Amino acid sequence: MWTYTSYILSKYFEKIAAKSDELKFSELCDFIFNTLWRREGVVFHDGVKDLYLDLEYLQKIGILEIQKNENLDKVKIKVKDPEKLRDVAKIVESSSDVMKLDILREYVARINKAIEYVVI
Amino acid sequence: MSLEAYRIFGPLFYVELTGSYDLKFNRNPDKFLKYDLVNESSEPLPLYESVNVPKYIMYLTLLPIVSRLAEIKQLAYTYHLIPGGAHTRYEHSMGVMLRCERLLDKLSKIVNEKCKNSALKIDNDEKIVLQIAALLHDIGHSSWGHALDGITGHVVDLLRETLDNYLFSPRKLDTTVALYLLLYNEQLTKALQTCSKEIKAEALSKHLNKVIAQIIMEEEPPFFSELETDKNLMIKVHLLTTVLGSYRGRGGVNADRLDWFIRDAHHTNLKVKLDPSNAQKFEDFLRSNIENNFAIDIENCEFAYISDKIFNKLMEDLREVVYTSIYEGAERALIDSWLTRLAFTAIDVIYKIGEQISSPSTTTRAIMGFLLMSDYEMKECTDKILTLAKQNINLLGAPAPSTEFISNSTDLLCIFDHAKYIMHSLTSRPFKTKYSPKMDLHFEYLDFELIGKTLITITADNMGTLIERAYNTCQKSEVCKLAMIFQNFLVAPRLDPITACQIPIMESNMRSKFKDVNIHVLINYYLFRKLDDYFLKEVKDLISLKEILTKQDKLGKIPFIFILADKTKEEKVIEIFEEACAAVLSYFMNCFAFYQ
Repeated sequence: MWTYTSYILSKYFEKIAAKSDELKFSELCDFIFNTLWRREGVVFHDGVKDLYLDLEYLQKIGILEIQKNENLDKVKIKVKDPEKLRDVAKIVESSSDVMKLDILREYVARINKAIEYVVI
Repeated sequence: MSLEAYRIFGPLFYVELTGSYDLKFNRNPDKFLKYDLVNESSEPLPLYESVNVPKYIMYLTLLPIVSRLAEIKQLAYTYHLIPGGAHTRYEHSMGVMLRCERLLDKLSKIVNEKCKNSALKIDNDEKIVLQIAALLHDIGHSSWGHALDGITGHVVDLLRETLDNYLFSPRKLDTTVALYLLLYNEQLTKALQTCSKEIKAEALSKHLNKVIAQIIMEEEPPFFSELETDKNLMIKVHLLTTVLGSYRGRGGVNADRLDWFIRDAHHTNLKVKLDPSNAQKFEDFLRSNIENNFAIDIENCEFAYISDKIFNKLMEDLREVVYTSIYEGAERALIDSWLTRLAFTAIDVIYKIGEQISSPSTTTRAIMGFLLMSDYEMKECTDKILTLAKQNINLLGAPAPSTEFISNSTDLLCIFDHAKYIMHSLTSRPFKTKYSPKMDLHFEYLDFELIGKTLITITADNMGTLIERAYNTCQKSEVCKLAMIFQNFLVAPRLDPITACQIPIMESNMRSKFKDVNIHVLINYYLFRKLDDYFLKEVKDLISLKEILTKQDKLGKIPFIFILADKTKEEKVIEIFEEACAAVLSYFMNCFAFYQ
């Protein structure tokens, strides 16, 4: 679900890594698999490799740049087009209103809650 | 609480649904089964000579929550077309168990040779865990094949209040239900406690239900705090998971897939449909594969995989054949869309009854009671639920078009009795092709004379053209529009296609417009699943998306929406198609307009 990966990244850069446009892949994994997954029970990715596929897609459509490394822990993600990232995040945010699906609102709420948890 | 609603719906809700769950599936096994009185055994199994059933597995198979798998057909209604395709999930589960056992023997030698950490060695404990996980891997599977995958998001959403956080993963309904059962079902949790006495290693036995759940979920990170602290335990869990299944993006040996692939092909006598070279390849594959006659290896002592590239390629090719010959096709898509709608409506009614006369936790048990029914029971019960709901629609407290959609579904259930005739008509007679000048689209339809109905299809090809038209009205950037399509036309319908695509509203509007024709609108969930398979790999803009949706060798011919209408004259068929397309186009355009 690359749109949710975008939303997570957008919020992460907005609230947690606000002073940077770069993020370690391991830090993102920690947030997705330890905070979001464990605290909020939201599962968007089967595992690290599945998440990486989403990032590669975001690179393909020009939102991100992946600074590759054979060791996944050393991989870095750089936002190439912050505006596009924010636009995708807005689409995700408003999707529950467009589709009239409460479950989509719940996803966004839980991601926001997980972000707030890290901020605090 | 409405007393009238209680009087009308109470017996169905409390006796047939909640009662069935509590008395049959949630009953403490100690009250009707003694572990010490169960013996190991051997059971003959198609494709294999026989399967040895150790005592702990035999004990589990005697539980109603497990033995129900013998009353669920693996391929749902495929037997209407292919009489042999009537095998059950129980047969498949036993097949997976045997295959896993043999694979683990092979793997233990590799682990012992390659992994220095003695804590990772595989012995009898791991074998027991994997056998149990294999037997239970489909424990949450409901009847009607994969038709209920299309209501996953709907069910998870309805049960949000009572389901634990862990369950908020609406990818597949069966894993959500499996997790619920492994954590909260008394019959299963108690039985697993009993079986855990066979396991010496405390790390595996102490939280056996959670270890099994972690394996069945096929998700890498630990779900449960009890498992996260023991690194070696998680490594073993990963190893066992990749024998039984696979992780997305990483892969695995996937004994589950190997068994259903071969078993389904065997029972449907697939070889007669193949060209001679493929038939021979398939025969060789089938024979050698039963013995797991391919090379496997491990990565970092943690993940098992098939290292035989030739085997993998052959398997991929043959899997494609199996998919197109058995699982796909308009007849399967129609029947599954039909069942998706019936289950969606039935569960909606159960939930609405629960809101009127019960509590959220009891409603969850009532829905579980429905989901765990056998193929036959589920049809009978759906009939009762929908008939009762139609007769007392005002008591459900739901707004139209929801109530109208429920009432309309009852008629659909009556026509379903002709499923065999419909499936055979779809495979034996060609669709008629028509052109709509108004929409500038070609479409197909087929008459079912025996039941006086006409089936009109809006295909992925049509969908691609309609998306393009809506797309061109939106001024946003390409990436934005791509995200909008993925989020709203793929993620949302994958969770809940009926709600996301506003099918009740579409049907209601079409019925208002064509008052003299009875119309039902069905949506094909599999199209979204297939589109999801392609998206990351092949879609980067509108052109590539349209190519996937319109090309005949990709999704082109796959139905997006079915319209089942009373048989009528040809001009009206065209009008109905045009009205449906106009509704779809307007839906797409409204979605795009939201972001302007």
